[in-house]
Amino acid sequence: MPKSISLKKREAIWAYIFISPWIIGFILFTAGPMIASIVLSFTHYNILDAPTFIGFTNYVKMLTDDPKFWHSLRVTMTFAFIAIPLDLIFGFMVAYLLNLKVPGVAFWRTAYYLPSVMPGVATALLWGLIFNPRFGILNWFIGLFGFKGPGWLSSPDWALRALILMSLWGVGGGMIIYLAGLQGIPTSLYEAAQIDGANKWQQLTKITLPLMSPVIFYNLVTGIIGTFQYFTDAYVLTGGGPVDSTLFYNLYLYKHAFTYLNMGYASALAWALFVIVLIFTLLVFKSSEFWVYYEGEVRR
Amino acid sequence: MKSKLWILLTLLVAASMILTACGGKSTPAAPAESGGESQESSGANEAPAAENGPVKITIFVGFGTGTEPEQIDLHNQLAEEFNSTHDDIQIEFVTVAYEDHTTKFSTMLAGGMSPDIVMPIGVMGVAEFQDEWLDLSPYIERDNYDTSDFYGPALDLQKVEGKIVSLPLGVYPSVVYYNEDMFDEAGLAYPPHEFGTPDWTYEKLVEVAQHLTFDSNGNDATSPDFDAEDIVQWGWDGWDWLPFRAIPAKFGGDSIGMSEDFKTAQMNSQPWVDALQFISDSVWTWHIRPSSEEVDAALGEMDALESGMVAMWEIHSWMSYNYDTWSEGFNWDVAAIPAGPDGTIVAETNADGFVIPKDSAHPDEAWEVAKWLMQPEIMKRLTDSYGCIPARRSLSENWLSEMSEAYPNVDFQVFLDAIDYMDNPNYETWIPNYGKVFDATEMAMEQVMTGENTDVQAILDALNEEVQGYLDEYRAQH
Repeated sequence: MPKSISLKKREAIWAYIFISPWIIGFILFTAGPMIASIVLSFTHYNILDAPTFIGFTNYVKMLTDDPKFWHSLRVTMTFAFIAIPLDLIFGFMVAYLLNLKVPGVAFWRTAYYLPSVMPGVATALLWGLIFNPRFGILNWFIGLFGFKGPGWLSSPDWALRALILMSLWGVGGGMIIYLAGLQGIPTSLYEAAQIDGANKWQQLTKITLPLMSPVIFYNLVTGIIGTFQYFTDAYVLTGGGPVDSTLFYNLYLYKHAFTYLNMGYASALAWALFVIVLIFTLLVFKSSEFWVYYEGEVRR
Repeated sequence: MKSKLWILLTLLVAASMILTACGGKSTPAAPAESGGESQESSGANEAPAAENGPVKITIFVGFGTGTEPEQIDLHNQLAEEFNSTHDDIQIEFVTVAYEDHTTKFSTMLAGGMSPDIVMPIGVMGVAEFQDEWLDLSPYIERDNYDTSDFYGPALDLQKVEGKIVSLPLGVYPSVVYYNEDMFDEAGLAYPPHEFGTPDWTYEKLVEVAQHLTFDSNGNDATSPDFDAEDIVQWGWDGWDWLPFRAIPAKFGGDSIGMSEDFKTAQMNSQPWVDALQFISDSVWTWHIRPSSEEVDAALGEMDALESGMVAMWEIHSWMSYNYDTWSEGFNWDVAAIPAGPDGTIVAETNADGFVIPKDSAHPDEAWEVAKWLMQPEIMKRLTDSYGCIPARRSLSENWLSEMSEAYPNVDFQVFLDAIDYMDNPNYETWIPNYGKVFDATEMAMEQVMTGENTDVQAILDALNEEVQGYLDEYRAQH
């Protein structure tokens, strides 16, 4: 390198060289396809023929002339509004219990986290067996109490509930983050509270929850993003049925892209989803002012 | 420095866009020298065979059967045999999972890497990519290729707008499989094996099936004490692997459900109403057939006959893979398809064949390979492996004797007879906006099968309106 280049510039060049594999990868495999999909969302494109520009037709059709768009959005929102709070609560509860000094805690932590690292398709197939109305362990268990279990995945009324129940299988992912958060709370706070006469419930609501709020916030945001992208379990187990009762947004998008070879419309659906997720995420960020507390933060 | 970086970044973005967005369609390859009007001119893909060594013909497998390990072994064995006896052409089978065939095949076409042959492929696979196949008629004419040995109806199955786009390897006619032991226990005569036997109608089938449907207390479906909530054996199951559009043909309609010019939906016409009403009644009124929930609950992972809970099962011959399991558990045989209300007999049939994509770089060589694969002895090995009946009449006697030897108590002649009653137009044949219309018609049947809605007329009125929208959409785009 010529000597005239200053040290600062030289460092900058080297920095860009070192991060270039990531930048190139990002541009080629993320940013490029994203930009391409924006362009394609304004076209009719079936992969086999060149795309034809049709302006906002895809977006107009989606909003005004596609009941399945609204239906799939409703299914996804229903799932999100029930599954996200359930996952947050159960994840927190499990983390809280696994933060107690109980024998074999390392084993329990591993056991509860393990499902989160299992491949999605394998997990879905496993749950398919659990939900089997005749041979499944779930209906066998319900049968022990003298009740007849429902049809689960083959019933239009129960399929979505079954998938919500199944989502609890993955609480280990959130749990591990809660656990890290719980262990970061200084014990001196609890000791001081005990001296002041606070009981366990007061310690939970006045110390643990406020100090855990940034972690809950993080899990909520990732939960919203993840839930709106929900796909694998429904694809493997129900394919959107029965009677479209589990036609999630992403499943509908996938159908347009790869079954109907309707890439232009699928791209428009993808960008609509992006906007929807963005709105929800921004709302949660906005609301965080009222319920998320950061240690050392000074509030006016 | 900054501006140079931005230029670099912009260039990279542009490059990535070109790479991701512009995988346009390659120039279609030339057909046989005789050519047809519809075939496009020779493109850059065409490469001379002799100059650059042997031409490689890629055979795409994944549109249906052919992906099981033993089937892949057979394909590889055939490739070895072909390659060791041919210097100018070498073949290679590329196998993809059925679930991925649409994406992988369309990506290959879009990327200008079209395979040269696709096989085995059924009517639906041909319809999915309706405009992408080469017309084989010029090759058949040029070589005076003898098609008289093929079952006539099987050849018609793969005609698209009068062009032969596929030659059939094997066929899968539908029949009524039945559990003899259940008939014996109920003291009933077996259903007839002869097609067209007087009185063998769906009305009669319902009557017989009701006597074969029992609750856990042993009451049959005609008994006033029969408990429809506690059925342990159903008299009949059928059409469960067929799309709904297949059924109206049995009731005097056809599987198209729209006007000849594909402009007007007619899916609430009387034959469609009658077909869906029969499906509804069979489950919810006569109780002879399990609902979709009961299929999952009672039958589980087993097929209807294997479960030991169904007496008659109307389905295609592709159940051959499970004959051994059935034979270990019970005595079974096959009966003819009953006649519909107007006397029409329709045995829905599918056929597996091969096609040559229009974009193949070597269609002439692909045709030579296809002819080699269609030779009787090779066809026999393939159809034995795929579990279908060879599409050549000259092989049917051999098939019949082999099957009869393996399962002496089963009347395999019924399958060969069924071929003459195949549906025309086929229930998988092309219609506009194929995937969306398919999903919509399935939804109509699913509503009835789950019991979610049994108002047949309302379901079909809604279906017709939805499908009309898809037809209008298709016309606007084409």
